[in-house]
Amino acid sequence: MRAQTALVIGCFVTSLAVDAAADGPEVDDTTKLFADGVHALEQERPNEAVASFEALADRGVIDAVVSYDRGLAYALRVRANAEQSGDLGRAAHGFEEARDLSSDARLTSDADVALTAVRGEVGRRKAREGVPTDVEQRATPWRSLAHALGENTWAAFAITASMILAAALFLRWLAVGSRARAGAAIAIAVSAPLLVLSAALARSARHDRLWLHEAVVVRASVHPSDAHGIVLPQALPLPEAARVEVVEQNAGLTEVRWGTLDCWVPTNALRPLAKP
Amino acid sequence: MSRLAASFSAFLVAIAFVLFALPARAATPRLRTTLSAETIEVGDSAVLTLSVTPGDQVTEAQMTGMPSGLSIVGQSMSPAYQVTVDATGQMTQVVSQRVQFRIRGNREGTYTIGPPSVTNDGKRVTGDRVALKVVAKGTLPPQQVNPFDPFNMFGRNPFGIDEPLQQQQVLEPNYPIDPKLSLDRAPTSAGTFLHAVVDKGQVVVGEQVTLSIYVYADVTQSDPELQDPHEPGTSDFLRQSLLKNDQNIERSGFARVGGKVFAVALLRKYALFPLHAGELEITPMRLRVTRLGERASETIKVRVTEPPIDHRPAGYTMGDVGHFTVTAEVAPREVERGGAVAVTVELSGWGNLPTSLTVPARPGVTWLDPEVKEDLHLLDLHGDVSGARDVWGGSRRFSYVVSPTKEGDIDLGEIVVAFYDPRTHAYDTTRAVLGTIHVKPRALPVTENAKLLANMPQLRSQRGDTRAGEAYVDDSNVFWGLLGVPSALFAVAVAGRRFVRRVAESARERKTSPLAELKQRQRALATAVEANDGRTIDGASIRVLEAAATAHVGVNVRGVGGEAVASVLEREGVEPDTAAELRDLLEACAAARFSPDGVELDGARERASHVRALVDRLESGPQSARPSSGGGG
Repeated sequence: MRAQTALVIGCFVTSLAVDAAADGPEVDDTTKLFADGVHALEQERPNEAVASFEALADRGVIDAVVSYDRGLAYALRVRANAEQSGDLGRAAHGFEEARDLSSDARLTSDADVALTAVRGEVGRRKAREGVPTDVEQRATPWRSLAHALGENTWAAFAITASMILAAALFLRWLAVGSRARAGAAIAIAVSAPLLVLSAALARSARHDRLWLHEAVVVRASVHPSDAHGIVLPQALPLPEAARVEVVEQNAGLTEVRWGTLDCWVPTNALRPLAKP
Repeated sequence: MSRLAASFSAFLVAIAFVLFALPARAATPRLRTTLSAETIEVGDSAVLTLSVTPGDQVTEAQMTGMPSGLSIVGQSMSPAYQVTVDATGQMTQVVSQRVQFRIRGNREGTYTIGPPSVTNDGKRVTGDRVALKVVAKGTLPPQQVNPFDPFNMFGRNPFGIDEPLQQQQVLEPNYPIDPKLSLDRAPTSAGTFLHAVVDKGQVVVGEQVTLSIYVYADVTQSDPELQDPHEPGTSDFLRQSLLKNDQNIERSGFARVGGKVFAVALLRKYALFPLHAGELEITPMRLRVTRLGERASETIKVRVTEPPIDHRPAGYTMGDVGHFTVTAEVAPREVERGGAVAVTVELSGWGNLPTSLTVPARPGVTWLDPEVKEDLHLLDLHGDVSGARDVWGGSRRFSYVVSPTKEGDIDLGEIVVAFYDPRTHAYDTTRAVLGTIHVKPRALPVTENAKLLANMPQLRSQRGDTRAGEAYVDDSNVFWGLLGVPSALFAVAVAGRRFVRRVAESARERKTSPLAELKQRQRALATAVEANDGRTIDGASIRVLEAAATAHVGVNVRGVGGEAVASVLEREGVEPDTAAELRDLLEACAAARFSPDGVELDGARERASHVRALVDRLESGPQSARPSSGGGG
């Protein structure tokens, strides 16, 4: 009986060990790739670092630090005189992604610094070519406002304004005293527009969160074209490392919005930004 | 294309030979002398063929008159059999004899050969003389499949006889049918068609797909002249031709298609390497066939997936599929700072060889763009190397110039190429270690590039600063409901209050209206009638009449005495008879009610009945409020 019990326990432990071994490589794989990438970066071997971080991206790893280090790897390759076409754009992509994904203010700040350096280099090169370009286009005031406080904040404002508006309406309706009625009227006048504004901003922020797709230009120079791929003669090329809004995708072409420019560019000239 | 057209013209002639070979029943044999080439180079050979029909009595063959610049290097004699049926259904077996002499050209010149002869049934019969020109080595273009005879019908003559088969039916043609080329049915009803086929329907990105396009020509039809070819569309693939010359048509053999025999020739053969994943389409190859119109091959779809993500090595580039080996040479190993080191990397193997390599970049070492030379071709036709036929491969040589910009011993690292092997369905890597070079000092200014992106922030070695997926209150419909509910509650409250007020007001109005009072008094009258009290009935009748006058005529007759009641009612438009009746009823009821003798019950009920009838008439309006008896007056 004791032998049978020992056998059953042994089988159970073995099966657990087999399960653990089966799960192990999946975990180790990304951990090892990250460690290899960091080690290669420390050793100033950018190609190996790029390979490791890109392998992580291929495996669907979405991580602010991985994106940030990937950006550093591409930047290091540029610095090591081994630059390949699009490296500055890929570096900017890594930093942009890190900035979007990170919850760490210091990492975000470092990504900002790195991004400024990369875009500065792109701007210098463009200036050397005689095509001065502002690589970074500002978002519209509405979008800036929507993202300034965050979606939940605007939602909380909207709820609060809604409550105040309702209370003021009741007060205005039921109160007898002139002071109370005047106070209620003021509250209505303030809370009603605030409700509309904050609800609209919350909705806009939600729409962007769900439907806005952005990408970074990862090619040295991308000529804008129409939906049929015919280059627009008047439009200036999109600079490398520019962050663009993806509107629509077609066979081999993607419609993007960059500042006031709305055009089509080759899909492989863009690298989409991951979302948290 | 003119060669192609010419080739099919020749094919037409060949078909004619097949179809119109004469029956070999004549007593004297027929002879035909042919030469495989009119011009050959020194050292090459041509074949002289003498066909004898019927040839079942041939016993010996000879060649006379052989010039000194030529020599016979081979001789053969082979019979050919054919069973034919004539118009009457009679079967005949014909045997022909083919004698071949292989003649080599030893010296330049133009020679007359022959005549060749055979001994037939004990008698010598001779063929014709032929002329052969021998030219210097290298004068003629490289020998290929005869472009004028893509299906080799001239030399083949499957029946072994030369005359047409007039009005005879071939029972068992001896075409060497290749089952691999045979099809269940032809895509078109007419004689010539194109057929495209791929060796694999599902591959990974970068894995070779071999596309073959054949032309099938019905051997019983004529003149399949091909013109204006349009290549198949393979824009989603990298395409490499596996034929030495696409302009030549390569004979493949014979096939049976839907019970018919077709001569088959290979038009195109490509190694295709998919560039991306998806269901990729190979559009048809098109060409024009004289008198038959345009012919197109099939549209083929190839399902392409990415190689598995599991165990994919870092640095793998999508599309690197096959099996590769990399080797490298570095020279010199010692150089001054800013000098040049040659690094030659050779990548060889089969499959989709990478067009570029990832070099081991290091700060202080500059790699210039490489010079690339390649030797790619059809590797092995018989599958000796890769286990498959028609494999594309070879080698690419990348010649780099590497310039060190810092001094001391520098480890150049290694070249690593990761690839996916479709045979083993696994990834593999090949690497070449470049080793160390020694860089001696040299006075050179530091380049500006050293400052490039120099002040980048520090790397992070710990993961985990990523924002978790937040919960957003506006994802819930409750949020959008909450925005509107307070104000909606206010609106409901206001509306509800108004509604209640309106209902109450309406009820109040209903309660005080003359009609409501009339109905109430009518109910009281009915109750009084049932109570068997004459005074009460008359009192109720008076109140009903007064209420009816108020409700239907708008006149309060209470307190109006005697004749005045009728006149008041008439002024308001009531018919005089009705007004008089109402007055009379009022007086009668009042009189009975206050009579000291009491009220007779039946009389009171009758008056009540008249009251009801009068009220009904008043209710119908002033015009109809007339007594039925005095309507005309």
